[in-house]
Amino acid sequence: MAIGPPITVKSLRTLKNSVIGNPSAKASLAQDESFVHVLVGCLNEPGVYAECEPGTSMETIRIEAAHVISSLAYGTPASVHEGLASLLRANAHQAFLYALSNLTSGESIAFKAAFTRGLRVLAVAFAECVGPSQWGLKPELSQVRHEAKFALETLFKTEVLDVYIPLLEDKSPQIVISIALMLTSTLCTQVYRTKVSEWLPPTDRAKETKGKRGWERPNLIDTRAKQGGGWVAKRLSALLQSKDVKVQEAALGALGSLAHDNSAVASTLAKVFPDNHKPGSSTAALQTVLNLCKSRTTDVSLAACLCATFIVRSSVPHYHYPVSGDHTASLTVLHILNRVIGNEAESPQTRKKACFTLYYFVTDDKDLCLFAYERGSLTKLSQVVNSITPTDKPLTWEEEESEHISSLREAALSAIAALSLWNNDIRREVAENYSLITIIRASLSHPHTGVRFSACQCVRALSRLVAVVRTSLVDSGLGMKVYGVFLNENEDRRVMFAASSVICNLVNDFSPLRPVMLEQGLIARLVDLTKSDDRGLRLNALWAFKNLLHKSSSALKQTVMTALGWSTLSSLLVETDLGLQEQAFHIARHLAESEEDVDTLFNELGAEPLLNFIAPALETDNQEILLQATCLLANLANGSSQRQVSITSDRRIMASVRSCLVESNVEVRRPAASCVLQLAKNPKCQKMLRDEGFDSTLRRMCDFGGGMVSGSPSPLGHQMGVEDDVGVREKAREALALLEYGEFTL
Amino acid sequence: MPQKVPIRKEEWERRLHEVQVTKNDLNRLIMDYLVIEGYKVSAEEFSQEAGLTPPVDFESIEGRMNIREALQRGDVEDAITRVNDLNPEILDTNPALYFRLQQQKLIEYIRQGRIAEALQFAQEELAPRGQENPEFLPELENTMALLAFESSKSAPESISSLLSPNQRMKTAGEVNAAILESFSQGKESKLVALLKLLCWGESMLEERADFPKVEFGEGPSRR
Repeated sequence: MAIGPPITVKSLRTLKNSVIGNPSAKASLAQDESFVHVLVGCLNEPGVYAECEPGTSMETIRIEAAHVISSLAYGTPASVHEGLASLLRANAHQAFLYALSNLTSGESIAFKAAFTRGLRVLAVAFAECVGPSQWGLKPELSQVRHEAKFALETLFKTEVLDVYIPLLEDKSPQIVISIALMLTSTLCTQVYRTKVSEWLPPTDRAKETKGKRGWERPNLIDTRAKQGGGWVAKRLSALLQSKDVKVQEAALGALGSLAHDNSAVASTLAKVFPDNHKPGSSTAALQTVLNLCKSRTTDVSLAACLCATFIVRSSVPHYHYPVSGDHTASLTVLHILNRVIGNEAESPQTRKKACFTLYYFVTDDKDLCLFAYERGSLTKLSQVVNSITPTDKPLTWEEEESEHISSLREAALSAIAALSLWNNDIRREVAENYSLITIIRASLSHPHTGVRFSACQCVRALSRLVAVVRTSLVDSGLGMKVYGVFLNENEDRRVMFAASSVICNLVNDFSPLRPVMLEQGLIARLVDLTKSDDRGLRLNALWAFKNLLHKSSSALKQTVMTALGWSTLSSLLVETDLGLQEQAFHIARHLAESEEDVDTLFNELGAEPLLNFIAPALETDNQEILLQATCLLANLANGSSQRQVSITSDRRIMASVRSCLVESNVEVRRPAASCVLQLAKNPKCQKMLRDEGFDSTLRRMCDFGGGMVSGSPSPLGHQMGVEDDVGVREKAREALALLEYGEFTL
Repeated sequence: MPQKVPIRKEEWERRLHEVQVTKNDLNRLIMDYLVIEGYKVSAEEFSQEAGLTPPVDFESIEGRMNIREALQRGDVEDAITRVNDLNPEILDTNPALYFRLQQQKLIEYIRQGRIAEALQFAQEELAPRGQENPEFLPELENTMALLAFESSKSAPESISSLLSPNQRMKTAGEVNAAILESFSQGKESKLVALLKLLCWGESMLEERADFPKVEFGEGPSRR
């Protein structure tokens, strides 16, 4: 669509009216990249790219161009993809920033509003593209994601923040709302939140770095910047007092995004609640937010609930715990969320927000899950899911569901999954809810990615209970349906991750589905995933192998290792990604469950290489790897005499074991003690153990060194080498007896 | 089932009179109605007569009024242009409303007998909307059915009603509400909300008492 005639205000307005609201017109315009460049050029150099007809002005050309560009960035992620790509290549966001950084007093409010809006729309589009979104999964636009991420990062450079953050103090509500809305969406990572919460206006920054006397240490001065949560947090808190509901809503959104997972800001905002009861105090931010929860405007009320949730969940110490703290905040928020979720008169978009807010409220907090459950949240969520699902026909999703209903379904299922993740009673109730289980099962094949993802998360929560794995997941077909998702190579990466998390729980020895999955290509699929680019999928694949190998037959172990490859295991045992390395050690530990298996391990990996893998792992600071390596060694110590001797001969390893016995936490001391005990039973190892000084260490552990043998060791005992764990002390005593007895028989 | 308490007319009227409603309150209710519904001239005159300052400036009312008038005379293009001038975000963030306006445009083509243009418009503009949002398909199908009946008298009610003035008013009302919402003004006039509250209150009381109800008929309401 190359435009021949020159660009004028009239042509821009016609263009604007043809694209606003019209996705196909936008797509068509976006394909004409050279024209998009011209449009972006009009933002700052209208004289170069356009013609100013009599009766119109350069400013109007710029404003209309801004509106067209903003419109191109609006739409669902799938439809906005092409528009976003062209706008990124034309550097539209830089053009807006340039204009905003060169504002004079001459520009009209309409101009400032249009350009602020343009920046906002683009920034939000970048953030939605890069993720994570607050409101569920968005389609992954991999082609554009990288460029969008880069563009998003530039928005948080100090010199760029200096351009748009001060606009939060603008007199025009439209401009303030635009910036606040922009922050709501773009503050999606810790790095960005920190940059914004620590931002100061340039003048204050200069003062702060110099300090009052010019020679103060910078880190002392830093704390002043963070008072009140920082300049931006203070400004947003002040905006909460506005009478304009749109300003309130936008400020709540931005404040919530700033406080999310940001304990510095959240704690400051919560600090004066409930201790400070000064009415009208400008620092009681959380109190103001809670008051706004009761707003009659539903959008404001929900925004306030989300903001309060983020503040309360991220602040330290926690004010929300029903057991100890004042749970006014939790009750207020939960009451409103339950009401909106259960209200069929509310729009799906509103109910979706309430469901996601509930998700954030309870996620990964066992007490809050119970709190919400006891107040009927699960019932409400089940009702929502049932009410939006047609019951008259089988659920095949042939007739496409509207986007809004699918989003609501995703939100409700996400909240159900979060509620059931930590508590068996809640899990059981979900598992026994036949209609809900039917819908979850059907949702696993829903066309909407987010719905499939949240359905997998529900099954994951259920699969944490052995009884459920043995019964409901089998009877309902839910387990095998997830397995189907897991096998699908074309599935979305995030859904695959969720499905693989379920599989980790279904491969245990007590699971009736294990043999079925083994027959249907489980091992081959897991091996594929270990080679994935996605770290999460690799981790889950290893986790699944680890669970699969536990208490499995030697034959199964052999089948797994034939497929996975011993060399793969070797390289994983020195993997730089420590999370993956930990799984590798855990796998090796499960591989060494019998004397025969120990032999296999030594043979396949080689005795010396195997011990060389273990040695550094016993010296690491990483507690998880240390634990697994110690457990592996303890299992290896159950091997044949020859294997025991080779272990005991390795002085580096034995030195590490000895220090583990004394210095490590009790989870590590237990397998260390088992290892030593097993080795001590072998007469060929006893001398080496004595030479390494194990007898004196064991003696100290049993409190035989100091003379007074008390029934229960003193609290300080452990620090003096005395063992306070009964099980460990017993093993130490037994091992010591063997070493001392052995001395006399040699 | 407990007996319903009968309330006599005199008793009812006595209680109603006891409720204090000032003239100022009533005036503000009327002003609110005129502003929200977009009757600028009436609002201006009423403001002078009743000595009330309006809650918003008259220009913004005028903007909405012009849009309503454009739709009522069937000029959808003009309405879209004016909506975009007022707030370019509204149609971009409200696909259902944009669809409603395009549907109205199609109806106007059909009403004017411009069948060829109607077909082209439906194919190029409305069909993509149906593809992007399947929930619009039933309405789209209804509107396309108009073409099939070509204003013949045998069209079913749900389809022929699309050509009635009510449809234009319905579209105008939805656009008005969307504009008000975008400027964080109330979507619904307080008078309408009060009527709803009245009906709800009556239905609640109906379960326990017999009392004189307000009649919402075509004629004057009786008490």
